[in-house]
Amino acid sequence: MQNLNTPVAKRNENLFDQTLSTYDASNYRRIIGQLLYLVNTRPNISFIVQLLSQFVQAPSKYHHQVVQRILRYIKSSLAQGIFYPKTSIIQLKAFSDSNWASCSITCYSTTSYCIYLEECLISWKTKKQSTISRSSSKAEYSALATTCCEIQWLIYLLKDLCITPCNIASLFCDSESARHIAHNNSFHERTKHIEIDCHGVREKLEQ
Amino acid sequence: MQNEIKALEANDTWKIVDLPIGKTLIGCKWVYKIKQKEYGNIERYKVRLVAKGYTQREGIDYTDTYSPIARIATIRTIFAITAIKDWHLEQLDIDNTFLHGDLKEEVYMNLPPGITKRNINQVCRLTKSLYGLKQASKQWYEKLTSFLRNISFTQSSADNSLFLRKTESSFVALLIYVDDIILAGNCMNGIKEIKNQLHTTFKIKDLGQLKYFLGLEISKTHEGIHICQRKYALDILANT
Repeated sequence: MQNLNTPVAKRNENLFDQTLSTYDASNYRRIIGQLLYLVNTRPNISFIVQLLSQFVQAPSKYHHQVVQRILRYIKSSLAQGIFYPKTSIIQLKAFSDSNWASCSITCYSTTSYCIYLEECLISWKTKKQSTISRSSSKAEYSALATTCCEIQWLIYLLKDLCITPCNIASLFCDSESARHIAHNNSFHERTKHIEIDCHGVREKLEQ
Repeated sequence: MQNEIKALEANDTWKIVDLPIGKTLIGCKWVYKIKQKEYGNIERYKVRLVAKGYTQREGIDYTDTYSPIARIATIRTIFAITAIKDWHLEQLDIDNTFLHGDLKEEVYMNLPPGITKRNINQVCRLTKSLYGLKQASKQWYEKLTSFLRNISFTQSSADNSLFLRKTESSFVALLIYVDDIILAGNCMNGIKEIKNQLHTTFKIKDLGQLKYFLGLEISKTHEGIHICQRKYALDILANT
């Protein structure tokens, strides 16, 4: 096997091609299961593994090729993991993003976030959203809501561990419109009812 | 295998009784396993008596089976804080974990192969839980958590498998992953004290500084902590 520097090729349209016939599903499922656990120390394969895991029902030969590519990448970076350095300040920093209508079969969007405790990456996730988003702002805002829940949980956890962050948590988002929505409802920003608020906001916007 | 039978008998796992009329039996068998170390070399050969839990009936032989385990994000957060604060990070392992759990239900099991019956009706009435029983993990979790509360640990509400103890001189976080326990804290004496307390009630194996946990390889220096899954990745590649 030739070694590779990246886990996945840039373009993967064939992943959503439903005309390809199913090939060796049991093997595919086994490897995907193993890769899902490997994501625990490798956030960089999180996206592609969650994407591939959507096809365990009926994987094609093409899906197997993509898996092989990930394996070749892993082979070239066996001991790669995460490093947690010693630091003096502690602050939570979260980055939230979404990929609007990324699934070309269902048109669902994908949520991603990663949360750092200062320089230490402690929590991340990539997940297909459970509802459809008609606008990319809605998708971005949904992702923000998911990220907020996780930040809130981490704040509780840190409190239990007697850690007081030096500063309030920062949440970064690359979508201007989602930030506007968030600022309009700034009181609700850190509540779990954000999804419902989002519907309210969207209704107003559509009017 | 004979050692294992002795250990089970010393632990009062069962009483040998005649099977009462109207009660059903569950089966059991021996399982043999080779344990490996972090680089894949053989650590020891293991033998374990397991009950055939699939023959248990809900409501009669067991009721609840739920037991929580730690979230991986909690584990990483502990590592991160340990690195940031340069805490101590230790690991221990409880011997014969599930055998510690007390059994509330009345469960009868066949005599294990290797013990000779004196008469045909003889069976084991289980008093402690056994591997393979549906409720084994729950009984163990309850036993351990009630013990931890007794030695003044408080349970975290964010993650139910995280326990914390704060004294004037030390702060220790204890994380449970079934039978693997991580201790992180700012004071080595505080950690040692907890290990001793655990050892008096359960037999523990002190694994020292945390190196290998749930397939994660952990290396700690004064600069920080590095975690990776090198062996796990190799295993994936070897199987494909």
